[in-house]
Amino acid sequence: MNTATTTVNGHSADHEDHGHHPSGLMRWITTTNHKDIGSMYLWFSFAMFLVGGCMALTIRSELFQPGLQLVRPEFFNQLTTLHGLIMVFGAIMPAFVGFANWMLPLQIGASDMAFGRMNNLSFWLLPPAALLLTTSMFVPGGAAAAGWTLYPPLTIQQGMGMDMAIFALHILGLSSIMGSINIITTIFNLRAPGMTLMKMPLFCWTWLVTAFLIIAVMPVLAGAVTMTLTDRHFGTSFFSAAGGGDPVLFQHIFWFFGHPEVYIVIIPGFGIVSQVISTFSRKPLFGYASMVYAVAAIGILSFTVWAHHMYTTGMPVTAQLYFMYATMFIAVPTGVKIFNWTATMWRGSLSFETPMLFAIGFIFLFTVGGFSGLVLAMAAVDVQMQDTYYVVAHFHYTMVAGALFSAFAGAYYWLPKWTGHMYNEKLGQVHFWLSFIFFNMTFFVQHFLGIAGMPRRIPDYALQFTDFNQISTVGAFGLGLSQLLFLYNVITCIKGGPKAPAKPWEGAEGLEWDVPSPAPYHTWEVQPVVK
Amino acid sequence: MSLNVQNEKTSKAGFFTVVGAVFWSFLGIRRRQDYESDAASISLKQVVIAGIIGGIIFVVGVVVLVNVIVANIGMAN
Ligand code: HEM
Ligand SMILES: [Cu+2]
Repeated sequence: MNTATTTVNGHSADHEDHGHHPSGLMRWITTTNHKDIGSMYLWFSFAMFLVGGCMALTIRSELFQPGLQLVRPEFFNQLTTLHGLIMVFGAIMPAFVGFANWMLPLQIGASDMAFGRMNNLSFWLLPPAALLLTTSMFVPGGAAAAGWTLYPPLTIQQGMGMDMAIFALHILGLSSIMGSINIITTIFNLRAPGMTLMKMPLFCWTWLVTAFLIIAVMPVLAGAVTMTLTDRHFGTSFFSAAGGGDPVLFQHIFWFFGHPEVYIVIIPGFGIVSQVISTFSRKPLFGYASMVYAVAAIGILSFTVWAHHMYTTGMPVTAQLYFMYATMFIAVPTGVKIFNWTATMWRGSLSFETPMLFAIGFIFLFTVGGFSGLVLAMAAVDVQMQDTYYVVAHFHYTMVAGALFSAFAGAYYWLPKWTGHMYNEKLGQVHFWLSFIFFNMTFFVQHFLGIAGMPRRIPDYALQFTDFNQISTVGAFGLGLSQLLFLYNVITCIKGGPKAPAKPWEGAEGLEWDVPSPAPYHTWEVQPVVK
Repeated sequence: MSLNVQNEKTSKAGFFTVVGAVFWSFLGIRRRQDYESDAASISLKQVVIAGIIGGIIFVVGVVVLVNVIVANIGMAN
């Protein structure tokens, strides 16, 4: 991608800007700058990642031995619920919105996101939601304890922690919808001259599809939890059989949101991984067009498979077969991507800097998660596996080794652009290898536990499951502690380190590398012309 | 808005071009040449509408398939 006007814009603007900018705390509260907001999103999501991580470690500590040692069963259930909600809505989704804020304008040659103030509001809705979720642990009755899937009738019965979770989800949904409107508008309207849709980097494409998915399904979730709320307080009986309602209705609504949601979580990661693989293979992405097509298709088809989460609720054989076939079919465009990434690396001149390691780790482990998904997609098998640790293993392979690893790949890839310094490469690689090893130690054994029949979301277990649980717990602590290396690396990278050139990666392509590192406060005020 | 905004204006893509593009997207495969001509000729509106119709056809197709299968193993319920 060539830019005709590679004027190092920004610097001059930077200077006149200093005058009228609030400083200190007010800068962050009032900012409409996409880089400020992107950074806040990223820090927020990392903080939530640590909070959710501490909850996970408490869960794993309790599960180190059979019997009850550390926490009461009610509290254990609150922990699994909050862990899930916080990681999905507080850590992973905001992390990718943070990447979008930082990188989309830079990548398409826009000076900022389309709606600055709405962008600010999208971010500042997050901390109240986080507060609602975390402080709900301390209200009478404790936090919501029905699992992140919030199935009735438990949700109808619980205390005010449940109301707080519902309110938090409303707020988080609002925030992601506004974020998505911003992203779609920015991509459609603010691209630099010559930056056609089909020239956009894959990260922009994947976010475009994701943003549409978010707008389509967050209202569905909002509807589901609002119906729960009115069932709880306003005398309706949507989900209560006693009043003529149907608890299974909730599951249909939830998973109509829920399955597209898992793609919302992973698709931006596909974009990051595509760019990282191509950069460090020093080759253009193999099958760019296929990727765009496949991502768009996955976006549409993800609405057609939701009841593969519900095989055990009782449905006709035809329905089971439908959801089974549809689910397996959707794995085809997903599988094609794995081939595309592999083919990109084929005969490339590879180098293995940290972003590349995380991207390759992603391909490897996400494939494992895809396969366990296919196993679960078989209705006859799923009847055995539903609600066991096999499912837990499956979705951690897709969400941790998938979404989180791709976020790490992106963070290391763009850190030089954000901070103007190179991170510590050795330490980054150590972070990768420890994460890779401990991740597998934590979650691979959970496949065995699941097949052997250990149920999920239960604080106690039968004696024969002890060994694998102990391995998993040790792995979890290793995995958790390894993430502190990342924090340390990021902080030292912000504070100093070797100066990063505008384009620190030899094989990198795209407009973001045409602006200096660190990217000045204002970029692309004069739009580049893409040939 | 055409996928290739620069070339702009009236989309020249016929019915079968759009159907082909959507079909291949569901498999996740597209030849470079073909996509380049797609990009130049198919409008965004066409893709979205064709994609949704394609999704509906996919669902109906699988439903018909499973009904045929279930009918033929004598387990219809
Ligand atoms: C090849 C692609 C995939 C297939 C075939 C697949 C299939 C399945 C099936 C059948 C289940 C239900 C298991 C059960 O509850 O008994 C499931 C659960 C789950 N999957 Fe996947 N999946 C795939 C990819 C993904 C991806 C990419 C993600 C997220 C990034 C994901 C996240 C989840 C989650 C979170 C659950 C469990 C939800 C819960 O019950 O708490 N899956 N998957
Ligand atoms: Cu699903």
